[in-house]
Amino acid sequence: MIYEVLCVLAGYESSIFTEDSQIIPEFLPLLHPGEVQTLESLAGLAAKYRKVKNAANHFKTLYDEHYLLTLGTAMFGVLQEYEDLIMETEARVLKKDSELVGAQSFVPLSSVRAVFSVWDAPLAALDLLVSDIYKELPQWSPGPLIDLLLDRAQSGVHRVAEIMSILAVAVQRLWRIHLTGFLLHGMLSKSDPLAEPPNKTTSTSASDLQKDKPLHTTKSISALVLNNACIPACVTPQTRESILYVGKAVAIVKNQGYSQKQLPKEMIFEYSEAFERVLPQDGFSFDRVVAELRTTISEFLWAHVLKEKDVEESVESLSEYFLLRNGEFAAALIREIERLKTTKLSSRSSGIREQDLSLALLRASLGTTAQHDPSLSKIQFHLPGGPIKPFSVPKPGAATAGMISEFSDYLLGTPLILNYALQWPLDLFLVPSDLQIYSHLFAYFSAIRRAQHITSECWTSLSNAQRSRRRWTGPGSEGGTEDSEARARLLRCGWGVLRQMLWFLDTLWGYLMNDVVSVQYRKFKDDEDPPRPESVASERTRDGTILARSHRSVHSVASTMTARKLRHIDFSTLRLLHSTYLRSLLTGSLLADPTAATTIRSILDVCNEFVGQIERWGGDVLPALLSEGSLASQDAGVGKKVKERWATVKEIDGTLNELLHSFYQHLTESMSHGSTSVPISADASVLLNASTTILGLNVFRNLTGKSGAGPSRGVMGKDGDATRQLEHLLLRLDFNSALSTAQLNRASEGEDTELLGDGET
Amino acid sequence: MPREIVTVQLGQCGNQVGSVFWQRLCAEHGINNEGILEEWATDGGDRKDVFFYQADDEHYIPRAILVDLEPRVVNSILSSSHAALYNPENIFVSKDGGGAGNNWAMGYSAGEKHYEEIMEMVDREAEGSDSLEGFMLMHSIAGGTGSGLGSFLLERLNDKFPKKLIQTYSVFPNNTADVVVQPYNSLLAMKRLANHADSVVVVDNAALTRIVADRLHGVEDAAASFTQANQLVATVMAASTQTLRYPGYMNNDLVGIIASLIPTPRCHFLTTSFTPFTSESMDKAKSTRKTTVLDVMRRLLQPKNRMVSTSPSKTSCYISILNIIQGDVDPTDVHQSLLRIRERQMANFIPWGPASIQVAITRKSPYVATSHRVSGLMLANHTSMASLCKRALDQYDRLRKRNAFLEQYKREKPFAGGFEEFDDSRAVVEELMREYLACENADYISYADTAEQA
Repeated sequence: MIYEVLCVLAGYESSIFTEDSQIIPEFLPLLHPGEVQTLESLAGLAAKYRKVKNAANHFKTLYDEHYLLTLGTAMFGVLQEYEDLIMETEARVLKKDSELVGAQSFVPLSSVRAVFSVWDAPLAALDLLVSDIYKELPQWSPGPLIDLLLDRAQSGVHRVAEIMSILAVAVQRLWRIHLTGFLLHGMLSKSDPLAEPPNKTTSTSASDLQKDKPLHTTKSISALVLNNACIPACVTPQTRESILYVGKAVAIVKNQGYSQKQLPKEMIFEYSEAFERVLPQDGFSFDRVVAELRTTISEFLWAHVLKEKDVEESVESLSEYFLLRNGEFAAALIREIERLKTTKLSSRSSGIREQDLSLALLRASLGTTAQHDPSLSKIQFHLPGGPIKPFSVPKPGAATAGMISEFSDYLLGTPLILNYALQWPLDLFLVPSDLQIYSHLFAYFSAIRRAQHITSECWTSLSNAQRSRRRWTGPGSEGGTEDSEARARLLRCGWGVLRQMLWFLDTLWGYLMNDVVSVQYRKFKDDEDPPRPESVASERTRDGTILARSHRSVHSVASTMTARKLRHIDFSTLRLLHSTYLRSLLTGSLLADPTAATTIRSILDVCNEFVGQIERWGGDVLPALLSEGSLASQDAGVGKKVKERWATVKEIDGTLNELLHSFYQHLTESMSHGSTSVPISADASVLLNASTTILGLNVFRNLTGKSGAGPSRGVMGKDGDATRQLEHLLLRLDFNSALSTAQLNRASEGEDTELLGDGET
Repeated sequence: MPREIVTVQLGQCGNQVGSVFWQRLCAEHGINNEGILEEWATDGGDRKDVFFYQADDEHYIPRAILVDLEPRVVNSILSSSHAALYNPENIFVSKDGGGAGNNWAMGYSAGEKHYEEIMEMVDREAEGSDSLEGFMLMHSIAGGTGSGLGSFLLERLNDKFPKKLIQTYSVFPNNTADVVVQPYNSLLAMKRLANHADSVVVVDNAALTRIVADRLHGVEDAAASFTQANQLVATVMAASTQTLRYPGYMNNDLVGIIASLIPTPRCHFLTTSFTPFTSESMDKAKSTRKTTVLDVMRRLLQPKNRMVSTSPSKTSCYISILNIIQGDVDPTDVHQSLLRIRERQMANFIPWGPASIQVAITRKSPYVATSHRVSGLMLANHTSMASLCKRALDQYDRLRKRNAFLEQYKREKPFAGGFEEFDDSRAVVEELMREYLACENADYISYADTAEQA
């Protein structure tokens, strides 16, 4: 009987018990009720054991589910103790151990029960665990599994807690191996990877492809996002962010192969050892190791891969080409594109393709500082609507869906996007959303610059026409005809419209370049690399002598070395500074203000319309004296053409003035509505959000939370800055009070006393 | 691709000013007096090819054409330290060498006579440029060559290059005429400036003399005074082309500078101011203490620094202003300065439309050491130019009333058939004056009375 019981306990089936651990009825009369109860409880224990054991066996066959396999193995280890207990008990019975065998002849069932009672709770807990796991099979990510085990390990029953910890530790060890693989070697396991390419849910086929070779390109690595399901809840958000950052960085360094300096072996060993000592469940010490690793990796990247110089250079070249700080190149580029339009969009030519635009970039660089700039090769035009065919009408709205700025079609006529090829290691610093902001700014700035270009060209043609007309016509009129007065007035008005356009564009451009771009660029540079007394001194000593080097080279070569020694700028701080810089550019340039941006766009369109009109009129406002309809046919009076043109000029002038006034009014209103009134368009805020969330919100919050710290000043003072910048524009726009007076007049005409008060500001 | 500019210097004044101008450009671009780039001048980020072209032997050669009807000044250039700089093919000196005798008509006739030779030089330079933007003429309008030949050339350039910009740096005469027939010459030349140039930078001898006397240390002799005056003009010319030669983010071509300065037909006579004049650019300059952006912008608006002596009336106003500020400028200073200038109402603008001071910030040449941080040039279109026209008209009328000195004009071809040319010129200048005065009215541009017209 005892043998039978031990066999049952060891997991064998027995004829004494039914399936549900009850004694079969035939035996019941032979047994004392106490014995029945004891036997049944032993059988229950045995059943739990069997279930757990089967589960463990099952887990061990799940080769794809590494974590369950590990769990199964660990459970085997735990159950081994139980099996040992059976063997030991059997041995004691056979040896007739006096504690177990009464009077050397019988074994009381109660003793056996007592021996195995230590396993009641553990097996019950394991049984529950197994049932819970089975409920969720086959999807068990390491994160929830570890969470479950750690949760069970909180049990008040010492033995249960101990067993659960053993299991939890075993699983965490496996997780740690994956973690160190990712963090120190840049490798991801195929199943349950810690990080994976984004949009896995949307396109499964693509992600499956990438899953096989997840770390093949720098681009795919930098796109990785953390797989939160694979990370236990006990890992804090900061640590998660660090894991992703470090993992990506290391993976990319590895991926670059021998072309890059690799992580030092000692460092890898040191951190492998450090990780050996901690588990996610350790909380603080685990976080500390990850944080230390992050600092070390950052240092390494900062020292060996991404140099401060790279960042400086990229920000500089982005500002040169995207923010058009390189004025001569921008002017040349616009000329090239205008030339392309005339040559390539005639009836016999092939249209404009992206290659043509790349060629235009190269041609524009000739003879400018961009000619020998290697970063020019990184910028490229993209036509989202495909090549332009001659006489094709761009489909409105078809290509403008998505993140295309409303200014992007001003330069070429169809949407045109300037891209910057992001290369390792710069993509550690710049993210695609940053570049998107740059593209938007380029579209905006180049649109204004093009308007400036075409209006100046229009001025040239007017002035040239004036010259050639005056060659033949006498003084006192523009032809000495009877309608000379009307002609003179038309001439003045035509020039006057152009004057307003040129003035507005110059004013806006002066504001954008000086008050926004230069100021923000300088601020970014100063924050990133604050001026140091010694470099100022060294420049001063050069003053007396010939400055053989340009300002820039003196700055970068001589001072960056000392800068690094003096002050170490944290990588994420730099990133934050950069997004603050972009944010200020967006708000300062009014691109983030939808009403202002739309008005500017309309003004640019009016410029375009007027310039086109003048072109159709043969480059002059006045009709040539001998052209048909120029002179009144019979009687004295004003020629038909003069009248027609007068009406056109008047209409354009009216539209332009209306727009200028509404622009001015909008700005004054947003000024008077207080500092936070500059509304941010949905488009721009999406961009802004994208750039800040990638930073990691925590970093952002941490930095903005500190008052008085360098970078936070920029973020906190944001609204105030925007208002102050608006003041700059308003001053330039209303320098001779013409706009505000006009607004006052309008207001008084409309007898609107409230507006009158506003206008006076 | 830079847009090239060809300069033409005419007559005594034009050549003297031009020679100083080219010396200055050489210094600013690190080019030595033989046209070779100095070894240390490699990293300036400057555009030399706007004004120079590079010959096969690495020499930088000015796109300059030197024209004179008498050999004295050109010879002195050719015996100066910068003699080897110029392309000898671009120098025209009349073979008879008699000059134009301070007679506009002689200069004009000489132009007709030597048209082929001079135009060949112009054509060669124009063809040698990839994308020629325009011409710059340097001359005075008082004498014979600069005035007469200059007028002739303006007419011809206008015919030959109808799509290119023509800018002149024209030296207007003193009140006290050195040349008795100066009112005639000026008036005749002003007609061409009004009709055939796109933009005229007016430099007034009277103002130059005043600035030389005021701002610079006492000058003992007239020759030294002339040298300084020439340096003044050359400084202004160099500064006004600074944004072309040291390109920044704006005003990278000539049209970009002048288009918004000249918003009304014919009113293209620009005044200039420059500050500070220091010993680097000028001999014997007084030292200037403060050069903040505000100081510079404020001084530029002071009449005493203006290089044109006009007598502004109460209604006189600026049509447009462009300040070109050179040096290490904090962009936030610009706003502060504009704010102060507006608060104190230092600049009156036209009443018929929005207008403001445009500011272009540009780099300084790294090769020319300066003791001041910031310097500035103001190019402005001011309605007080009408008073200059008035002066020219009055002086002309006084002479003409007595029919004085007309004999020497009558001898030349333009006046062979009578003096209609004088009347015509007078009408043009008077019209110009009226246009400037009209700019002072609020209804300069008016759309109101269309019904009446129709």
